[in-house]
Amino acid sequence: MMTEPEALMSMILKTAGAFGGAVSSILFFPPKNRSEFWRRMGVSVVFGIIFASTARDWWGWAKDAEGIVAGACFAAVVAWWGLGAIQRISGSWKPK
Amino acid sequence: MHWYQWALVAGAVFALWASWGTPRAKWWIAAGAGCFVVSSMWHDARFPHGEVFGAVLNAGIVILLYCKATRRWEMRLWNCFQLMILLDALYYFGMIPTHFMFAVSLEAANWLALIVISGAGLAEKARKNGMYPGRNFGSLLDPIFRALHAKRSHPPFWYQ
Repeated sequence: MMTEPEALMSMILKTAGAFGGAVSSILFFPPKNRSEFWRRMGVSVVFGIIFASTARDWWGWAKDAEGIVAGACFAAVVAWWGLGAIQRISGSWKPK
Repeated sequence: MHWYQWALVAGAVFALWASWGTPRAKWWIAAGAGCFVVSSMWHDARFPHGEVFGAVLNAGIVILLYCKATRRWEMRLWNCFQLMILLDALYYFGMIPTHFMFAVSLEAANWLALIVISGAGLAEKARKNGMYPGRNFGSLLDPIFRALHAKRSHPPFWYQ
């Protein structure tokens, strides 16, 4: 069980990592318009925060601050890319 | 300086000559050269995390290109700098095992960027010298020119 300052620190690190991942994703997969940017930014930051620990454990990264930031960053990048892929697939599908 | 660094300087000078008169080309060459010189100085000074520093500099150029590019050749140049960031990240995470392999792959990406700029410049020079459709090599040159100098397909996302 984490103490309150530890939980707060962990949350700050996860948020910073998720924002870092979302912003660095723009370099490789820029959105097409502003509404897509806000949608993907929101989803990837939330996913980054939620799945930071899962991503860190999956890669076997250390359970320190660096590991948490890296995990959140990785989860955010995956969410950003995944949402773009879903949008492309749903955009190319047309009902007959 | 090593021979491969001199070769890259010669390549940059050729690209500058080839693209003289092509809008923004000299600024992209200057940005790439500046990034190369500063990251080399960082490496020679034996400061830590050279690949992270290089990736940050390349990320700056990627952002500049995304904001200011108007032609397709500039978007291909954008892809070259994205490749350089990817190589920095792969080396940082140990997926490129040796420094030699990292240096060679980064050098190849630099040459690719110079080839894109030179190609765009030479295509424009050829067109200015009368090689337009139906004349000389015009029929051959025209698709190349269009591929390089057509407008970029998507403007920056904040304009949409």
